[in-house]
Amino acid sequence: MEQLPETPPGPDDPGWDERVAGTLEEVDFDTDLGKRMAEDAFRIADGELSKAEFHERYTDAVEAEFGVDERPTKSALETRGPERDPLPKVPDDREQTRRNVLKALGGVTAAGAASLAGCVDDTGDSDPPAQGDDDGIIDDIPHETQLGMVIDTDRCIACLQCSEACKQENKTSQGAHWTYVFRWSQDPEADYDDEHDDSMTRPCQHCTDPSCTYVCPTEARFKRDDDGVVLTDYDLCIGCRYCQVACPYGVNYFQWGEPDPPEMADDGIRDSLHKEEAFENDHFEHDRTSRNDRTVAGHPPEGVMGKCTFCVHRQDSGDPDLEGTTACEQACPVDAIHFGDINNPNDDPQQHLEERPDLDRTQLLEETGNDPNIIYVGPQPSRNAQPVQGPQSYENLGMTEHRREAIDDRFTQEGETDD
Amino acid sequence: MTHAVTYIGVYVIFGIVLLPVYAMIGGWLLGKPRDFKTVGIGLASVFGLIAAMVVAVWIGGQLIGLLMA
Amino acid sequence: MTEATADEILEPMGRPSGKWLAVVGVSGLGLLWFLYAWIVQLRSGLIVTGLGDWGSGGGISWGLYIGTFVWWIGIAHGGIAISAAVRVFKAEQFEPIARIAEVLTVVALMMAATNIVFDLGRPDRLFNTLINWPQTVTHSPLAWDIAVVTLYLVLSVTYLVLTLRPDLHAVRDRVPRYLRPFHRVLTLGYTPDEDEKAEQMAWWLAVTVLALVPLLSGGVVPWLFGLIGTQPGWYGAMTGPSMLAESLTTAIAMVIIVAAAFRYAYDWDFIDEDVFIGLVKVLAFLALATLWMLLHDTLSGVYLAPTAVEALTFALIEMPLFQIALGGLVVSTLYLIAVILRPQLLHVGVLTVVSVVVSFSIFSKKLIFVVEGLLHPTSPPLTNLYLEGSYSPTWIEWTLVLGSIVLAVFMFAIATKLIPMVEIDSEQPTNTTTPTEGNQ
Repeated sequence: MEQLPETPPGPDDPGWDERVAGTLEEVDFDTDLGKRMAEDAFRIADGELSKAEFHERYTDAVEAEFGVDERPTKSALETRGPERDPLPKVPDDREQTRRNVLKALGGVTAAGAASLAGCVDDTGDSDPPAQGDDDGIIDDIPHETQLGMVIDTDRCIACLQCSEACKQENKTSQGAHWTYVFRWSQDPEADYDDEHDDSMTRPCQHCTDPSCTYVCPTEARFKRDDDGVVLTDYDLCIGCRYCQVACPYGVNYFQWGEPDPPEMADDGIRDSLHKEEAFENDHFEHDRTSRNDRTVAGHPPEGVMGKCTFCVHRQDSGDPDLEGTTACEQACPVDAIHFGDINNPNDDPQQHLEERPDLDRTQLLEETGNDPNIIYVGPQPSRNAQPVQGPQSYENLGMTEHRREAIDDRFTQEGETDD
Repeated sequence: MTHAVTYIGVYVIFGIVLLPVYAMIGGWLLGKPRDFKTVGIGLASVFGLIAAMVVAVWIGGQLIGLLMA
Repeated sequence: MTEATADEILEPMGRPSGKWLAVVGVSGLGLLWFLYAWIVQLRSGLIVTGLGDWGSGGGISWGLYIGTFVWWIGIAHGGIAISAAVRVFKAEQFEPIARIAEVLTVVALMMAATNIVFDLGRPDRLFNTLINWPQTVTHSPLAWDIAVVTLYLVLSVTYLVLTLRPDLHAVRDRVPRYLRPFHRVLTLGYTPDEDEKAEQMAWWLAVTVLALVPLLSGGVVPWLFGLIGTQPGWYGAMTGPSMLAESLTTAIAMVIIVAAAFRYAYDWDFIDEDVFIGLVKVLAFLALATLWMLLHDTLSGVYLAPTAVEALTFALIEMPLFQIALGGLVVSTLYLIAVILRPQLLHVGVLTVVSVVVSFSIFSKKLIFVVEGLLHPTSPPLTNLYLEGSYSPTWIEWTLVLGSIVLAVFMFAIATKLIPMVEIDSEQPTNTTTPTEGNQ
């Protein structure tokens, strides 16, 4: 095996042909095929070529040359419904690792290919390798990513920053708390104190068996295969609200009227129902379209259902600083929220479980059979826990906590809507 | 523990709810007197109405969209 | 049994009477108001209703519109079930009202669908439910609902048309001229040779329609609620049988109201005591069945029930509306039983009022079912941690719901001008004023 330089030449560099010839010299297979596949492998890494296309392009040649075609890019051809996108715009899939690019090269030796692949752009792959790959051995075990959270209720101080940050990020309307902070007590008469009272935030649980997706009559509510996020397609949803009545957790918030995000708010509680104050332009600052081409991010339009999306616009952004984060997680001042792949022992959620082995671990409403993906560590509300006001209130932060009361107030003060 | 059986709709509709309809069509076709022209009128009514309803829903949606603008 | 003459049957299709004009005029005005309210809702969104997000939102997601939808579906069954009973069980005393009942079914189904449209946030996208139906039918009870309601409507209209064709043919020379093109379309390809087969097909249609009753208002519609494990007020096997009993009760009550209306409007004496006594017996049985189901619901909700279920049941029992509805149903049932025991107590006017009370009671019960389920949602600890919900329907919701009743009345009025509302019995030898070669 010849000594390869630190940064070997890529397909556009002068030494490329020499390098390929050198590497493949010792392999009994078609040099030209290997070279073409290597060049295309670089294109996959750069996002210029899809894995599905790559697979199809070389199927015949690979089978002719090697007798079999066991390349892992085969899976990219399989369609699994509208949420399965075989054409990623950027290398965003955790499986898009150096090792898979290696396998795509076919008959090139492992050592040579490892050096070649050293040049492959690892953009987006900022997470540690999936379980089982630490030893560097290529394997075919699929690692099902399921995004979720471990939320530490022992650390939670009920500051409501998570709720506020979510609202600022997603521009949700008054009274819509995609993550809502429960504050409870065993003695509702006493003041909130650390001894007797506790708090937790409740985002969407992004269940593994989400009852909301089963009842939806239009396929607007769906669970993505590749990362397990449960989303609502704002173009398909007819606003029947069946998902809302079927969800055990109360995480759905319907857009009853014109969206009234916090940007439009005065100081204090805003009367959110005057149409002339409703905005014309979309204040949501990110891309609403997911990587599988559905309109899912940010607050919903009028007449449609919305809920926590695990900041899907961040996960699909292609920006390594945003992927793997959520607005609530970043805003939490006591690091109570840990977002990531809950199936990956090296990712934030499981890491936090390891850091706090002393705490109780529970999930909400396990008996419903929905298999939620939020794990709570720390004190849990008992069956008789009563809600109390915490150290911070929604109203103090300019938010309406219970939308129903705001609407009822409006109707008693003004009679009826003047829209 | 999670939900094991949720994709039951095809069995519910085509295996249970539609059973009387299958019997009805059987009765139409096989029952005396044999008169396939009249059966044809009946089936034309059934499928024609279904088609008409699909179209009506589409048109209705468009009209409502105009009212909502 | 008094027989209808062809003259009597055709009279409504002739010159509009004063009563007819009054009905159309008043209901027409009501419809204008209803249209205004609907357009307000379409343009402002569902925020104009009293609905809200359950949970931290403190509201309920479904209310008056969905309750009314369930009520109309129930009524839809009664109509055609009466007509089917004539054909399948030879319940001939109901013959005079068979067609009126069939029209009630068609109208009621359309009003049920209308109330769903009222409830949607994006009714302009209703077609989306059809686009993905092959996929959604595999898992969504709402997709099943769409399919089976459509099926029922299609079968009912087919039944109506098949049994209308011989009648239209028989009276084709006697109907007002402007109706003839319309009737010609309905009788496309008709010859009297088809009568025997059409009768056989109608029998099978009747059987199917009857079999679908426990599968629609006793099946797919209750399953929308009864299959949702997370809502203790809705979940369970009892939801199906309860809803079926309630549905059929309000259905027969409506048949009585409509039959009485036609008898009064056109002096149709052939809608006589035999018809009403028959309906009274059926209604009494159904009302008792409804009360019996209610007994089950109440006992199982108070005796050794889980605390969340107990709270829900007490909330239900203590609701004034519930008490009024229950009281109305009990008093009505007593009257119905009295009439069965002493038929001379039958008075069509009183019976009509009693039927209105029954219908309203069932409507209230169905509304309460939907609303209470969502006022006491989910399980502990979330039941306590969330704000207790509230619901106060707004004028728009009442207008739209009452509007669907007014629309039904309007549609009935139009229907009486378009088709004969009583089956013309071609075998009646004493029907001296029935001419034409179509009849034996």
